[in-house]
Amino acid sequence: MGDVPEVTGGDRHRIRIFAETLHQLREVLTESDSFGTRFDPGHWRGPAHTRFTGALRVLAGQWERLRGTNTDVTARVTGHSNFLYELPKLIEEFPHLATAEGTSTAELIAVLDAAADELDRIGHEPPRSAVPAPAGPVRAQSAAPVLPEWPTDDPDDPPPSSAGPSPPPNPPGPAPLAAAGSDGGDPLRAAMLTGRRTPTIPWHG
Amino acid sequence: MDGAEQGGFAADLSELESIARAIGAVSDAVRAGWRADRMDEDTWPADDELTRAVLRYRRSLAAAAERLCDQTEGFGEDLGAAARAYREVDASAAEQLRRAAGDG
Repeated sequence: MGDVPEVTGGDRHRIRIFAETLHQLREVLTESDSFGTRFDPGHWRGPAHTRFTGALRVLAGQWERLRGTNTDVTARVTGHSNFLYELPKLIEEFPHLATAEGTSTAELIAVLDAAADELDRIGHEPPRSAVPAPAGPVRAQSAAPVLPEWPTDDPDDPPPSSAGPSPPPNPPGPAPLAAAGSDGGDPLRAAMLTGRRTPTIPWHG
Repeated sequence: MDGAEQGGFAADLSELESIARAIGAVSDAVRAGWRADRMDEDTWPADDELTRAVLRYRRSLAAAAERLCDQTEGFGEDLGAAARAYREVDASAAEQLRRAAGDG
């Protein structure tokens, strides 16, 4: 009898602290709640906004996976912690539960390993190559500026393709710019291309 | 029809800059929260399967959070760059029109 409280005593203290830290980290991760809706600029329209929202959804989904995994693990660890605290009392009434700690701990280890595997898969997508958006013929009223190239994973919103011959898949390097207008479009186009670009969000699709 | 379908665009640059800062703040807050994590891993017994799993999970969670913080930080920076690009294009267009009008 005496060995059960001794075995669970150290573990249950550590597990309780582990559960508490997981709760704290879960609170920290709520900073990323509603990522996909909170950060969608309501007054932004146009091609760049379309790309932005696609990338926003991807990143929001990654945060959601992270939060979901940690929430599940937090609940599981908390449950295990409560179980360990109740176990000595339970064993008094139900001696056959003396082996339950080992079983529950083995299950917890499996849960933690599976969750770690899932976490290890999050956020590894390689950044897409830095390809500037082609600038169409420059017209003061309709040309959108060349902006950081937001990736998108939306299969219903592929990058626009021209009617010419099909480009080779995954063209290396920057895409050629469309011809600028003959009436002084070059300075404007040059200005378009000076913006700093640091693409870091993975491209899906 | 707001013009976006025809290649036009509309943007509130103050809004873009504000959201860019808010996105960056997510990374800052998450990283600050992680720095506040004080669980003492040395209190866990060595050569123990539960210890291994617990520490592995913690490290995987921290690493995944850091990867997403990196991406989020870059995302906010890109949005800030977009706002700057809009401003540059607008300033350039204004300069072109000023010249076209023979104004200086």
